[in-house]
Amino acid sequence: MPAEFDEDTAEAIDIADRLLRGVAIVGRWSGATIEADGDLRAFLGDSEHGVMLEYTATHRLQLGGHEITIGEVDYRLLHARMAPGQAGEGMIRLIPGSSDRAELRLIGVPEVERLDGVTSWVPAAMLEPHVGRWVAQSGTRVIASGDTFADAAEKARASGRLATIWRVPATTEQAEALSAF
Amino acid sequence: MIVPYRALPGSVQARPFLDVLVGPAPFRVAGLVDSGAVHGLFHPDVAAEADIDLSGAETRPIEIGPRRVLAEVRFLVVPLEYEGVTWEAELGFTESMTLDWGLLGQSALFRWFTIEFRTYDDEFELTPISA
Repeated sequence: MPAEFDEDTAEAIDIADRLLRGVAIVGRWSGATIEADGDLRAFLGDSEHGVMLEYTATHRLQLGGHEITIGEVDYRLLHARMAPGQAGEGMIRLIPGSSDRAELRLIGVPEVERLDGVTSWVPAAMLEPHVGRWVAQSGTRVIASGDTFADAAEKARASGRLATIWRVPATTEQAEALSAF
Repeated sequence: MIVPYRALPGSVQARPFLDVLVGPAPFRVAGLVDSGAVHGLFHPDVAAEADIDLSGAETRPIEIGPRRVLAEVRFLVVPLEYEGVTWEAELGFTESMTLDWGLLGQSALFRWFTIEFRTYDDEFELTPISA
């Protein structure tokens, strides 16, 4: 387990974890590079609007110098277009067209059962912005914070995601406290 | 089920917390896994936010902490869930507990799972006990 990881890695772990749990992920995308033949190039054309593109690829998680193969994932990009200035065969760079919505779903049998030992772990450094506050933690991410337990719980409810509500200690004394007052 | 210890800012030692669903709550709460504790204890605000009615709970006094504070604790059997594994256990709710996190002791957790602590790897492993 790495000692530290950044927000991007935390998000990548979160996505992999949710895929393994059978959750269809709906979000935004900013770019992708895929192998393309002439037919795909013709399909994509040179539309500014872009086209709906669906493809299957192996999803991998890079973690602390290790690569974990998650499984085959169906990617649906609405809408994709070729980045300007590309010619010839081989890999092409895709960018969003009129919509940057993306959907991901694991298909078939995953390569790993789950991400035991990784997915509920948040490095202390990532909690520092929330010191003394109540947080709603989902997987490796803090999805909301508030001044009270009820506040954080309400924000978690509103997000529609199952989260753990807890308070990040403000001091060493609190962090190492017994549970009872 | 391998669960990483939680590293808290300000502490050099991560500790074993388990994020459990308590009753019908639409959120999880953190419980410190404590083999030395008899009960599972949480602050009553957890019950309130989770829509758990404590009006029919059995009230019993217990001493809490090194100052031997005598607390009135409302005990109720509630369903608990962790990662799809469910069990029913008696939990106590008392304002003598911090709201920051609860306590998962023998009657709330250890009688339902084999638990192996691996502090050298900052993780513990829960294995549900077959019925």
